[in-house]
Amino acid sequence: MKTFRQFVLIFAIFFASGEAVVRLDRQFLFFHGSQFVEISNDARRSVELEAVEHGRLTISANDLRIMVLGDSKFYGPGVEFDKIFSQQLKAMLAQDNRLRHDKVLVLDLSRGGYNTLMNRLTYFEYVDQFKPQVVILGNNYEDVYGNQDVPEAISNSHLSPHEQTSRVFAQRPTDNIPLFQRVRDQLYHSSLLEFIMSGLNLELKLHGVIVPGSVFHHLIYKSHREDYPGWIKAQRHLRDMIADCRQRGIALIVYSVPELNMLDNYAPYEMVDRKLAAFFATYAVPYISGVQPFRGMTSNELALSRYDGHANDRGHYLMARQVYASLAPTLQREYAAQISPAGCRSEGWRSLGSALQ
Amino acid sequence: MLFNSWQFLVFFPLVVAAYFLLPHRLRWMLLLGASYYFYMCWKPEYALLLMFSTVIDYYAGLQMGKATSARKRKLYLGVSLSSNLGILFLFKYFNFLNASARAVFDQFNLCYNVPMFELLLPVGISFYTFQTLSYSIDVYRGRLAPEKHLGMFALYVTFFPQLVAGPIERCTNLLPQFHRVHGVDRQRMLDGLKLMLWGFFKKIVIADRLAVYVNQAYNNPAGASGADLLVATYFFAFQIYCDFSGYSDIAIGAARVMGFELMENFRRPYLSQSIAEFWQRWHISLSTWFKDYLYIPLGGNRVAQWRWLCNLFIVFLVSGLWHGANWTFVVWGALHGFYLVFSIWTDNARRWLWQVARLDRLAGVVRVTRILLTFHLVLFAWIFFRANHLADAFLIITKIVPAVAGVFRFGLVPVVSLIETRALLLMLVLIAGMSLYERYQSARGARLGHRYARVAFASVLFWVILVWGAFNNQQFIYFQF
Repeated sequence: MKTFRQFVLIFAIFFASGEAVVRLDRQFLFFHGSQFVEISNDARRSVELEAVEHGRLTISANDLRIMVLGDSKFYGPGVEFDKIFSQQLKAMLAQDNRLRHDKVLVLDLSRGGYNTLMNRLTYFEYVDQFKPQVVILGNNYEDVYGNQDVPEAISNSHLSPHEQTSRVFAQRPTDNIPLFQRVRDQLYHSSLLEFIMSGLNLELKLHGVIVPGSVFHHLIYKSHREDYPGWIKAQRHLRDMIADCRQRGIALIVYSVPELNMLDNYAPYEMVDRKLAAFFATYAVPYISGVQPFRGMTSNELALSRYDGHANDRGHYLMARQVYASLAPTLQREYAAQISPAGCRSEGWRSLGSALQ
Repeated sequence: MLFNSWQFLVFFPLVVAAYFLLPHRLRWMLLLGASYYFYMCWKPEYALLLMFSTVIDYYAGLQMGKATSARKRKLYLGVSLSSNLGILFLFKYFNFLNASARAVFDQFNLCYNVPMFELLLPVGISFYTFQTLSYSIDVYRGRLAPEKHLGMFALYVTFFPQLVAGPIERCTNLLPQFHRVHGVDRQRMLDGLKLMLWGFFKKIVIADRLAVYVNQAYNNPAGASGADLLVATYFFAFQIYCDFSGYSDIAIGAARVMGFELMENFRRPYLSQSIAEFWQRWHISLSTWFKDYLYIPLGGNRVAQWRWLCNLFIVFLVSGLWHGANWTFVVWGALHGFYLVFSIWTDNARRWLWQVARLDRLAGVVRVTRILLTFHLVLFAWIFFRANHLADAFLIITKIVPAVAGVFRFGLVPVVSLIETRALLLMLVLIAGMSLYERYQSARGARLGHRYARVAFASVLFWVILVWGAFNNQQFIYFQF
C-alpha cells in the first residue's frame, strides 16, 4: 500500500510539473512568437479579382475564364503569388499555342479554412459577374467539417473540428455527471495531455497510424459516411453547384488536393478518396485525385514542412500540371471543332461542360 | 549516432539491458559491437580507421612491452605516433595546409597544382587518436603494462559513450574498469540517468535553442547589427559550454549507468578567476592530456622563463589547431596562449598593484571583477572560434565595439532584433537556473535534499526538455574536432 501511495504521489508530481510547464509555455509562447506568420486570408488580389470587384471586367467570348475555388491548399500560404496553383495553371494555358484564346483569366477565390458551404457561397457570389467557362473546385477531405448550415455563423469557421468538439464538450451541463466522467473531463482539458496527444497523434499520423478516437480517425472512417451530417450537407451544396454549372454550360472539375506531407503513408486517405470519386462519378463530374502524380516522390520535396501538408511551389506546379494535362486536350478539341467563321466561340463553350463530363 | 536522436533512445536501453543480462566474460563483446554500431551509424567505412588505429597501437604496445632496448621501444612508439598522427594529418590538416600553400603561391603568381583530398573528416578522429596515443606513450614510458586482450583494448579505443567527443580517457582509468565485474546498482543507475537528463537539458534546451540565434548572426555577420552580434557572442559562450559539457554529462551518465566512471571534463569554467584556472576547469581531459604529453615533454616550467612562456604558447597553438583546421582556431589558441603568457609576465606587477591599492580588503569585489574579466577575455576569444573566417571575426569585432556603447545608452532589449524579449528572458532564466544548480550541486554533492524534491526537479527537467527543447538533431559542436 505504501509503495502504491508513493507511486501515485510520484506520478502526481510528474503530471503536475508537466501541466505547469506546458501551461507556462501556452501562456507566454516563448519560442513561438517569431515563428507565427500571419497570412492574410483575403483572396489574393489578382488582376481578375480587382477587375471583377470594381466592375471593370469585360466579358469576351474569345477569353478563357477559369474560376478557382478551394481552401488554403490552393491559396498557397508561404508560396509566392506567381507560384501558386492558379497562377501556374494560368501560365501553362497562356503558353499553349494550340489554345487560340485571346486571354486566359483565372479568378482565384480560394481562401484558407474554406469548406464546402463557403465554396458554394463564393461560387454563387461571383459566377454571374465572372461568367466562367471552367470552374475548378479544390476539394479538401476536411471540407465536410465546420459550419455547413447557417451563413451567419461563418465567422466561427476558423475553429478546427477539434476545437468545435471541445466547445460542445465544455458546454455540457455539469450536474449529475458521474465522478469518472468528471475526472475524464478534467483530463480532457489538461494542457499536458493535449500537448502529448496532439504531438503523438501527429507523429503517428505521419507514419500512417490511425489512432482510434482521434480527429484523423474521424476524418478517415466517419467524415464521409452516409450518416455523417457534415457530409450529407456538403453533398447538398455540391449537388447545387453541379446543377448550376450544368445549367450554365460551365465545365466543373473537382480536384482533390493531396496532403503532401503524407505521401509516404497515403493509404488512409485513399479510402476517403475512393468515396469522393464515387460521389462525383454519380454526377459525371470529372474528379481528379491529387494522389497519383505524386507517387514515388518524397514529402520533403513537395510539402511546406514535415508537419504541414500544404504544397511548396514545386507542389503547386505539379498540381497545376495535373489539372492542365486533364483540361488542355478537351479545350484543344473544342477549339478545333467549334471555331465559327466569325471567330465567336460562345456556342463552343456551351458544350465544353458536357465534353469534359 | 547522436545522443540527441531517437535511435539512441532505443539503442541505449537495449545495450544496458543486454549488458546486465550477459555474463561478465561476454560483456566486452557486446560493448565492442555496440560501440562499432554506434560509430558506423554515421559512416560505416570509417570504422576501418578505428580498427587500423586499434590494431597498430595494440601491436606497438605489445612490442614495446617485449622490447629490451630503448631503441626498439622508441621505434614502436614512432610507428604508433606516425600512423595515428599521419591519419589525423591526412584527414584533418592536409586540405587546410594545401589551401594555405595555394593562397601563398597565388600571392606570388606561382603555379601550384597539388589537388585537394575529397574526403569527409571522420567524426571524433581527434578524440580517439589522442586516446590511443596516450596508451602508446604511457606504455613507452613504462607507466603501464601493455594490454594483452585485443578485445578489451579495442573497447578502450571505441567505448561508445565517449568515443566521438570525449572525455579523452586515460587507459590507467578506463582499461581496468573493463576487467571489473559491474552488478546492477539502483542508486548508481539513477545517478547516471539523472546526469544524462541534465546533459540532455543543457544540449537540447539551452545549446540548441541558442544555436538558432548564434547561427543567424554569425552566418551573416554583414547583415546582422552590432547589438545582435554582441548578444550572439554571449549566447555562443553558453551554447558551446552547454553543448560540450552536456555531451560530457550524457557520456559520463551513460557510462555510469553501466558501472563505469569517466573523468570529469568541466568544473563551472565561467567562474574562473584567471585564464590558467579556466583551463583547469574547461575540457579538463584535453588540457591534462596536453600537459602530460606535450607541455611536460617540452620542458614545462623547469626551464628558463622565456622557454617556459614559449612552451605555454606552443601548447595553446597546438590546442587551437587540434580544435580545427582553420586559421580562426589557430588565432583562438594563440589568443589564449597570449593571455596566459601576459598574465605570467605581469603577475608581479599586478600583485604590487593590489597591495598598493589595498584591494585585498575588498576580496569579494576583486573576485567578481576577476571572474568578469576572465569571462570577457574568453568571450573575446570565442569570436574567433565561432566565426566562419578570420575576415568575419574582424568584421564582428568592428561591429560589436560601437554596439556596446549603444547598449549602454539605450539598454539591451530595444537594440536587439535577434531574439524576442520573452524568449530572451526565458533563456536568461534557464542559463541562470543551470548555473545555480551546478553551483549547488558542486557545493552539496550530486543530490537535492528531499526525495520528492528530486522527483519534482527531474520531472520539471524532463518536461522542459520536451516542451522547450529544439528537436532538430543538431550535431554536437565538438563532433567536428
